[in-house]
Amino acid sequence: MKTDITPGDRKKIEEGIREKYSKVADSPHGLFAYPTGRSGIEAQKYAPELVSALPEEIISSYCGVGNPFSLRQIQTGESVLDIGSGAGVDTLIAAMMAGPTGKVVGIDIVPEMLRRAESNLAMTDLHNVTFRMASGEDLPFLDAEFDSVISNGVINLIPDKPRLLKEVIRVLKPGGSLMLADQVAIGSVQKDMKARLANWFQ
Amino acid sequence: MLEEVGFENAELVAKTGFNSSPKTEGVLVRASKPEASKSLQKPKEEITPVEEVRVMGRRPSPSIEAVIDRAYALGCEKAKIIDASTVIVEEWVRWKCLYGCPFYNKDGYHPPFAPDVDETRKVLDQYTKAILLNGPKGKVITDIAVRLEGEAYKMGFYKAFALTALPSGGGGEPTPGAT
Repeated sequence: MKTDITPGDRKKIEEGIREKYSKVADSPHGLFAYPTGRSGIEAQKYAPELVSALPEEIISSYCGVGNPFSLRQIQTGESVLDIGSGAGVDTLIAAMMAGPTGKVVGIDIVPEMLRRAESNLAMTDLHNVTFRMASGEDLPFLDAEFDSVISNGVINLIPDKPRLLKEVIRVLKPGGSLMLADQVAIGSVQKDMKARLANWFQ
Repeated sequence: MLEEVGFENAELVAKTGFNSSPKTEGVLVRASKPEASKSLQKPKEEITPVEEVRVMGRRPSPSIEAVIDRAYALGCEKAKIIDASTVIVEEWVRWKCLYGCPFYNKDGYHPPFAPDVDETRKVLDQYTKAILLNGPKGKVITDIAVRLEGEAYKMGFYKAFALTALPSGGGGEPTPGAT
């Protein structure tokens, strides 16, 4: 499971992510090939009672590629990690599911997205959510800290996916769940790294 | 790739229809981490069911059982609630520190700067319950205890305070009889 990403490639990828998602933090509208905001979240059939509990300004910042909660519902009292939490919509929905006895942590590497997530959190009465700057490749958490790990449209952006997955399994409790919505390449993967980098953020 | 790193029941469940380019497609994937060996799990009959709480914004009274659950989740092998009054503190222990421990007079964790017996007893008397932790050797159990202190605080146990077993003796190896 080796990757052929050089340190230079990694730098370009991270700079590209920061450049694109600093704009997404303001508004994802028009920046993705699929619906975002309310039309996106309704198309992915998130639980209407949870969506309706969030202010429209939060819903408008949604830019997921799927509904990770369709894979498994978060249970009351669970601890949940959201990798690449972005504006934090999934994080906040997970927090509503987990309830006051649960805890949810969202991590992201883009400062603008974290600020948007904090701003979104401030519009709710949720007290079981924290956001912090961290990479999925180096999770700043103890072993077996989370019942569930979710991620939505992020792992395709991560340069070293095996390293991320090892980190995920480390921080999950035994029997814990990973629920992913993401983009996968179809057809053959481009061998030319320059071309792959050019398409990394689509 | 998921199973290579240790996940089980990895499954591509569905396509989402949200594709970021003609060469990619949105998918839903789930997987689970295998259960741990039984020696590291709390016996099932002792597991306290999580209380159903549906009302947002209202924090229930904290449950010390929830702290025990977290202790196991963080890696403790045993965690037990005890009466704080059963914790014995005696003067002779300080002599063990004074004679033969290389950490004496070094920092706030050790005599003569560490709290003395009377002060320790007074502080312990301000608690009714304590949790005795047993787990991995060395710094790991200290990390767990400190982490648990923080989590207990956030649960509402505002007086939570971790008293950790630091290694004593040269090279971090326990010295017989030393504390």
